[in-house]
Amino acid sequence: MNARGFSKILTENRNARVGLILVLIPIIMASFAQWIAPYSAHALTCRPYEGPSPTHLLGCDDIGHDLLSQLIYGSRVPLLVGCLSAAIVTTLGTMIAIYPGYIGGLLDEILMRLTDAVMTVPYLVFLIVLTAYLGPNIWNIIMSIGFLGWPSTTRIVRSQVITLKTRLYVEAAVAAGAGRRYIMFNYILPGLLPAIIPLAVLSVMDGILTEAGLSFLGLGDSAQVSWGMILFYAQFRGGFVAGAWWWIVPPGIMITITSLGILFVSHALDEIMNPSKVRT
Amino acid sequence: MMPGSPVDRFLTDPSFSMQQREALLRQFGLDKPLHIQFILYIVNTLQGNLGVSFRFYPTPVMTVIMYRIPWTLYLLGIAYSLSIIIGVILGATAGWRRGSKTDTMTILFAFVTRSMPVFWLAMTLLLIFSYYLGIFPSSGALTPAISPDNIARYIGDLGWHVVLPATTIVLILIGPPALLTRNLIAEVTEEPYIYLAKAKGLSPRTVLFKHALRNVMLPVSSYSAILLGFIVSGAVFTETVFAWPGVGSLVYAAVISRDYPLMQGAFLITTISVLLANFLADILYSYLDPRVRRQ
Repeated sequence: MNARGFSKILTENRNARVGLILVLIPIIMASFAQWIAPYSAHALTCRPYEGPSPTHLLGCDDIGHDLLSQLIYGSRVPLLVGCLSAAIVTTLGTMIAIYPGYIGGLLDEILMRLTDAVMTVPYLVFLIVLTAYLGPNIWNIIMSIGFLGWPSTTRIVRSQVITLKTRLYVEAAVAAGAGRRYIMFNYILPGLLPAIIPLAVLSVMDGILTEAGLSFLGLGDSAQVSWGMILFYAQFRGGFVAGAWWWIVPPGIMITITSLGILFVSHALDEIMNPSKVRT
Repeated sequence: MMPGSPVDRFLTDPSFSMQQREALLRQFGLDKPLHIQFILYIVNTLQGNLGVSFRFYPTPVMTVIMYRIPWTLYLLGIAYSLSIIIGVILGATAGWRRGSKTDTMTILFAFVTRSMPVFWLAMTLLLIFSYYLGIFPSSGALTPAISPDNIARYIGDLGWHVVLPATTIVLILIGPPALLTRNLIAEVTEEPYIYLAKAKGLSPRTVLFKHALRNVMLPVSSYSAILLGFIVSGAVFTETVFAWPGVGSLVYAAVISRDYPLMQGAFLITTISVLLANFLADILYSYLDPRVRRQ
């Protein structure tokens, strides 16, 4: 199927349309931040705790940052972390599923037990400890999410690998003398894509929510603004004492809109790519 | 969390001499090479000694955590049971009348709460119900200095403080069991035994809750065990926002004050708790489903 045909199918799906419109909001904010934002993210432009006004549409924080500008610039880190961590999660999760799932044996056994082990550890606490040790830096956060988030992908992909490898067309390839690696990448992997793609999109959402959570706990990269970090300052620098709803409410709405959009898109992709899956 | 040794963090006073600094390092075992420190840590942990907290010095980590566990169990116990009960009832009602308004709203609710950051929901509830309306207390689990002598007031105070944190976790946790129950119920509505139950003249409510729901309770209960793992992150964020004196907010406190022994201890205890909870769930499951025992 070509890209044009696919985009037509995608826009015919109601969930996909809703999702794409929602996701477009943060993407536009992140791409055109310099032109949309009224001030720079770190400029001190107003009085502390100043409420919304025509010059500062979303008011100001405790030291005089314009919160609308921070909100707009703050879309960049979540999107970056979400996309890159999802790329790592998906690649790692698929690789760990496909090799041992197809070949089986001892390596499979070891990797499956490793998957179980990583899955039983409470994800967030493990992540907090890991980023705390590595240091608050955007790349460390991406790596940590990537290296702790893969097991759920592996679980689902592996079950697909096991059903696929008994299919006739794979057996035919084996009979024709194709090598293992050739079969894995040319026969198994394409068959896995309908399962992998919706999952990969969902991983972007998980990455965004996780980044927000870590930044909220003060583990974010303090050199860059992000929605989670605005909320961290709101919580611990007296956003409540000032009753500053303009400080607390908008970043959360942005996180929710972004995640919800991605969730809708993932759901729609699943509907389109796995039409035979029982859905009631 | 900023990099640097914990001693640098606490000994900001330049009047500390080099000897005092070294004495402190030695006391915490921080002067030994890393691999020795690691072996010491393993040996001590196996003996139930998690070390001494830097932040709550000189209290041992174990004591700090033990004091906080009941508070977390209290909050999570209420929130967990409520969210499973509400989620199952909501999901059953939605799945029974597929395509109805209740159904659409349930799905939308589950989607929105799935995409919402827990801590932000907590902050918003706090802003509305505590700051603006002043109905609920803004932090903690008890009014300071309240005496346990007046038992009714004491319990009332406990209950009053738990409302907002528990509501936060319940709202976030209703979605997954609701969606699962909905899908399972929707699948069984066409089953012959449902037709039979209807033909007997039973009320729709009886058919749904006594016949349909019973048959989907097995997957729902095993899924509820998985949710126990989810609840940990909910606890960390909710407890942090409401300054709830539990293990979750302890994780945050440890991170902020670079209290590595406390962080490791909290990590270890939460992991063990989740494993233990899963183990208990497995045992309970074998009582629910006798087929599991026979295999």
